Amino acid sequence: MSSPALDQSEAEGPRPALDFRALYAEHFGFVWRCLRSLGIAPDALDDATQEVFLTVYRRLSDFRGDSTPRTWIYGILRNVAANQRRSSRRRGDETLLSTHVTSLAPGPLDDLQDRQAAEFTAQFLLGLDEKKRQVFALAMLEELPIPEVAAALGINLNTAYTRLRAARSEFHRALARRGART
Amino acid sequence: MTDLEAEERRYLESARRVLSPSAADAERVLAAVSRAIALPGTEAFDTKIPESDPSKLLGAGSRLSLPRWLLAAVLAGGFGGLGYGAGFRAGERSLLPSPAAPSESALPHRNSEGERSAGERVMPSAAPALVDTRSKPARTSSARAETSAPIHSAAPPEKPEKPESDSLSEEVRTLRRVERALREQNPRLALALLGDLDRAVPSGQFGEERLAASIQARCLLGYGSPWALREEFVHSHGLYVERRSRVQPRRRAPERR
Repeated sequence: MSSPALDQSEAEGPRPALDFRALYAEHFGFVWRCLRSLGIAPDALDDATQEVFLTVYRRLSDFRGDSTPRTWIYGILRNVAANQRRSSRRRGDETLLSTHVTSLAPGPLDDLQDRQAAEFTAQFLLGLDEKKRQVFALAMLEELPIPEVAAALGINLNTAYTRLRAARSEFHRALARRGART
Repeated sequence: MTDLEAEERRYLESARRVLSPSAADAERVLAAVSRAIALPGTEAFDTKIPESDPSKLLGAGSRLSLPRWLLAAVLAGGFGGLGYGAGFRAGERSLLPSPAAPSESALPHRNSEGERSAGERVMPSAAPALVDTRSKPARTSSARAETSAPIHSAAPPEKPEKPESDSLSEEVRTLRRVERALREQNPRLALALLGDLDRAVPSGQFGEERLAASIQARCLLGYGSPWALREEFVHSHGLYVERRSRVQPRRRAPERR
């Protein structure tokens, strides 16, 4: 991935403690998935991701290392997602996550299963309340350790465990209902 | 591990796969971020408008002050309405059967694929919709040539063009983002996106929409007077020039106070 403007701008400006390019490479997928699981519509994902990384770039020098870079980035993306959702609600064009999922599965059957599973999970996430959704997405989809989830959300460790337990049991119930239907 | 947990694991893996971005997504966003970081505050987009007092322009990182924004919005709306009304009246006159009405040959020429029925009315718009491509009237080759010139001077002419369908979809996609940025009062992002679009698709199908969006963004930023920007749009496009000249003689923009 070549980006001469970034190179130039990095060369000209004061060099931050964290390497932006490394942060981008490591956390792009995390940011993208989290934005989606927080309800950002696919056609707004580019803008939202760009905004997150622009903010990350501008605030690199503010990062003091009190938390992990991922936790810090999550704080930024949570604000960006909240702003985006607010403005899309104002416009009335909030899009359901599930209607736009695409799959990278190798065959048609895998593809179908992937899509169904992803749509189901996305619907489930949209139905969860905001607090549980964030914990569930970070702990289950992103597989972050619970202490990191608690730090990213600024909540007590026990609260994080409680919310995760509640969200998981809701997920299990939803799975059981789905299994009973099919 | 219970069956339910196994099922949960399978579902989550699928969701993770499906929700993950592709390498192309990563590259595209990185390119946009990199351009936005390198975007100069005002220099890149104000080359085509008359020089105004630099002290009146807003700083690179500052937010628009409310009175300026309100003035720009009111003026842009007013001029949009005027342009629409003028175009509408011109369209109506052209359809009147009176001897003074311009003949069919005086109307903009249409190519075969864009042939309209005799009674169909052309509805002009001073600020054309950026997203709806279905109802777009086909343009003449000359009009297309006029509008296909890159709006911003940075566009490299020697860049190889993409296949038409790709470039059209990219253009529509980017224009949607531009429209969204303008709606969200983010004119800098809109201008950056338009700059990208000029580089990626220098000779697109939506030259007028690009120029209109660029002017709207510059208006929001306070670059130049809304009158001058409006005149720039109306005078630089064949379709609008022709209609406008049929309705009213050219007049100069009023002096700025």
